[in-house]
Amino acid sequence: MSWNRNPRTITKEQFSTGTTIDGNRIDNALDDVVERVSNVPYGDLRKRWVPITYVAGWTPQAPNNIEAAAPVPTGEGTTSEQGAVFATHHWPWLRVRNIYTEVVKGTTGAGGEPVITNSYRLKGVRAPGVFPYGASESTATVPAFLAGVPIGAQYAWTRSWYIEKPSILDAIDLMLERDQADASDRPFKNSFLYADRVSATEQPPDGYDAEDNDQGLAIVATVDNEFALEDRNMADIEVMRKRFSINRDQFSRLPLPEKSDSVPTYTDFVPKPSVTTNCPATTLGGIYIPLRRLNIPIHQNARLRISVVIPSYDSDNRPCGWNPNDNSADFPWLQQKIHMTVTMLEEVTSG
Amino acid sequence: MAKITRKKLARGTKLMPGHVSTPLTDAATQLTDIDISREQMKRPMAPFCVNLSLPYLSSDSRPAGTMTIPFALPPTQDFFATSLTPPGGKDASYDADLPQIKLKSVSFSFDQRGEPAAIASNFWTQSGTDTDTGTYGYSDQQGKLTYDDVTKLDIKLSLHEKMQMFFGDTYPYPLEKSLWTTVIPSPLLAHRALRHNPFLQPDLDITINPYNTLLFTVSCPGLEDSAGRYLTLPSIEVSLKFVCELMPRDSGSTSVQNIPVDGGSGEDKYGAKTAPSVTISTPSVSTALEADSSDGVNYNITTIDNEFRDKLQGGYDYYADTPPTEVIKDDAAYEVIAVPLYQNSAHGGISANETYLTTYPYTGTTASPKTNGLFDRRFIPLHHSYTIHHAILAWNWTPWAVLNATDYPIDSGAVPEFAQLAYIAALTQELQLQVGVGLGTGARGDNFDYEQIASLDISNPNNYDSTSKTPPWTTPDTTGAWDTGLIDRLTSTTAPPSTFLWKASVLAVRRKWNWELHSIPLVGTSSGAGYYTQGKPIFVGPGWTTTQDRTAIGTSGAPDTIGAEQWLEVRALLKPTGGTSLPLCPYQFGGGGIGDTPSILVGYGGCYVYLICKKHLTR
Repeated sequence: MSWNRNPRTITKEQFSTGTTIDGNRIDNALDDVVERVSNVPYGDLRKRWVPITYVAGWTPQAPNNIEAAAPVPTGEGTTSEQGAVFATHHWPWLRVRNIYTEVVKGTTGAGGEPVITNSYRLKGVRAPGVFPYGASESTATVPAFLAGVPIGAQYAWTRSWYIEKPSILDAIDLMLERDQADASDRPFKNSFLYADRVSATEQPPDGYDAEDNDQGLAIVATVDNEFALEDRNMADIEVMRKRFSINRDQFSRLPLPEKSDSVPTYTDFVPKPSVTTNCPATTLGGIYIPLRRLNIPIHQNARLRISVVIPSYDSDNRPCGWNPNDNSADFPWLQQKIHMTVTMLEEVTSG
Repeated sequence: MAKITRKKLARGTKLMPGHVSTPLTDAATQLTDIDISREQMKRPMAPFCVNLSLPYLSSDSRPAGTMTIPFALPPTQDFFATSLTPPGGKDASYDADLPQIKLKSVSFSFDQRGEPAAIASNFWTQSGTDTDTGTYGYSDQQGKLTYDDVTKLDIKLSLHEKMQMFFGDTYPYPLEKSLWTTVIPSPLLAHRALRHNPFLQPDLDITINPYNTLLFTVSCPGLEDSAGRYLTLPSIEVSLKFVCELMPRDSGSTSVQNIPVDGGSGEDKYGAKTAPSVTISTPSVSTALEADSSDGVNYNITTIDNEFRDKLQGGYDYYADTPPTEVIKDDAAYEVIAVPLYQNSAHGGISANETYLTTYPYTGTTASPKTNGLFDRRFIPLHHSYTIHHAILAWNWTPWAVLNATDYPIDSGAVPEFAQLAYIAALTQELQLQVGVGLGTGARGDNFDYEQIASLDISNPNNYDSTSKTPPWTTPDTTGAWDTGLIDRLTSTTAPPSTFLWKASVLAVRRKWNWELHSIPLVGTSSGAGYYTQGKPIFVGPGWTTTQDRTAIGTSGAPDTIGAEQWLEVRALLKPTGGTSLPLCPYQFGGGGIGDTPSILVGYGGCYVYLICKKHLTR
């Protein structure tokens, strides 16, 4: 007898020559067919996911307009009082290291009381040249343990969501936008290079050469541990990208012009940067880090946290891309515009 | 009615071919007619989220610790129906097939640095805790932890709705109905072992009127402190999860712009579906009912079974391509992409005085401001396919307390006291706002180009006329060149901005409104549905060889992105029109420029553009 397919999915009843075909079995089989077609289970859909997009980003304060490295916030006759422009806030960037010096003076914990629960709140994001637990201060005759005072700093922008239904983390796209190099008024120009070693205080991190590509950026997605929700050491890392040469992730390798009507021209849309009257900025450019097709399942009732971590180097490692030699040296979050999009997939639902 | 029925085989019934073949034929017809609709799916809805990202909320907002964000969820163009002649006094039409939208849950979070603590703001000034803090917003305690102050973080979340001005709402455009409210009490954020951050409010099931405006409010009055212990909520993420019934996807060479000409099912499809071949053979009269023959019971059931075993096809893949054959009628779903603009500015919002304005890039220096406008853009990579049906701008006029000041923190010789504030909507007629939405290609590619898909160009935000000295003080709610796409205005706080209006030879102060919703018309030559004249829906999705040929967009013909679009880009430009810098735009009610006035250019917390789309079943 030749092979032929039999019903497997829509009904369990099978009929073949030589066996009885009674009314009850046909009735059952047809019942199954009618039920299946009239109430299609979601598992019968080949494609049953839909995308959900989380967009964020901003143009930061102009670093080239900052009139002093540190503001003088109080007092008669100070530059602040005279209307000088200083760097204001650094939201939403917050230090990764939680230490007593990061507790507001005069409040509980500022004196070293044991209140801190997550002293390093992101797993695995250490950057070259940044030592969150400081350096040993041992001498030839006096042993010492870690000094505890961080060398350099890391700042994280963390976005978190409660994921109620089983989902798939599909993509994380981060863009660090810079102005095109030939633009005259060019506030955003992070080179993403280490210091050039011109002097003893302009050193790249150990193991790197002068003006090597910076590797201090990290992107990490974590899900809180179900049994220790507030212990960041126990969080599950779902995505981690770190220790990569940021400059290798260029948005484009093409010699893009400052504006669309400069050679090589391209077709733009309104408002056109540097072409439309009084429209500043330049052609889109900078660093684009697409983490695509991640296909990472996120369980229901998960607490998903996606962090971008940037460095701020110690004085011995400056000037560099994140900490340039101007009044914005202490503000690595001002050296580029930020765009970040997270894409999740979620299943169709009964409502 | 899509569901199929059949005659029951009761005991003693003579088995006739129709007993078997009729329901099987009906089932086959469901497949060959591509008629598997949402009514016959166990899961007939798809989720979508309005995701609002806010870099911070501080005590300089007004009221202190409060931020409101409006949005709208209008029906897609195929379901959008109104009796027109806007604005005002017109009715929305509710088609019987209009997909229902329900709010299911709300997720809210902010960054606590992983600690049961609050975050000190840049306004922290408590005397005795540090000598370097002051009234200028540069506290060196900013961003630090304060375990003692987490008890002040009682956070109230709420969602309101109101009738849109387009449908008849009038000045002062108040909120009408509270749909949902909750408070996250501070103890939920203060425990060492379990904090509700992110916080979730599940199981809401609130039905949404798609022709109303919705407004989300977050309020944390504890961010302000009379002793100077000012706090901040950094990195706020709000995710309002809705579900909407599935709907048919868009197709047609003249109905959808930029849609792939070809697809997996063949050439010249324009998104149309191709049915599979499912044939049920009915035995002839007087023929024995068999099992395995080509008209047998087993054979015919197996024919249907094969389709289900291979799973039912519909939707688009990653490359904007369709399956060779499809059976699902409703394979699209509602989607909103919320795009923030002008957020995270140095002073919360953007005001006209040089000292504040020049914190924004490209505007020159305080001594030499440039004629440049305020430009911002967002880059949104495309990983899936959508058809964009509407684009809506939420423009913000919400005032704030510059530098969190209750007095005048800067020497009046440097900045006039009047100009140290920000509570009046831009006091000039020489302002123009251009908002554009485009498709881009060329990220790590060899062809860099854009294609415009939506554009808004409006000017003179208060409809001033310095010659005729209008509008008069009795009519703060005039409409003009700024309002050609106006959908709604909202007074969303107890401290809305003010506006100056002419009263004889002097001026009068009247309340304005916090937010405006404007339609950003889609480009296009043929008329699509919507609040105002706009083009047909526009397909966007990264294509491949098969799906590179697209229908035209607007008047430009074949799209310059040649079916290889990689990202959406939203741009906004608020600029002076008189050849001066923004601070020197003429003050409507006197000499000088608006830089000497408390003129708001962009309200506290920035603005949003909402892309109302259909997304598709995928993966």
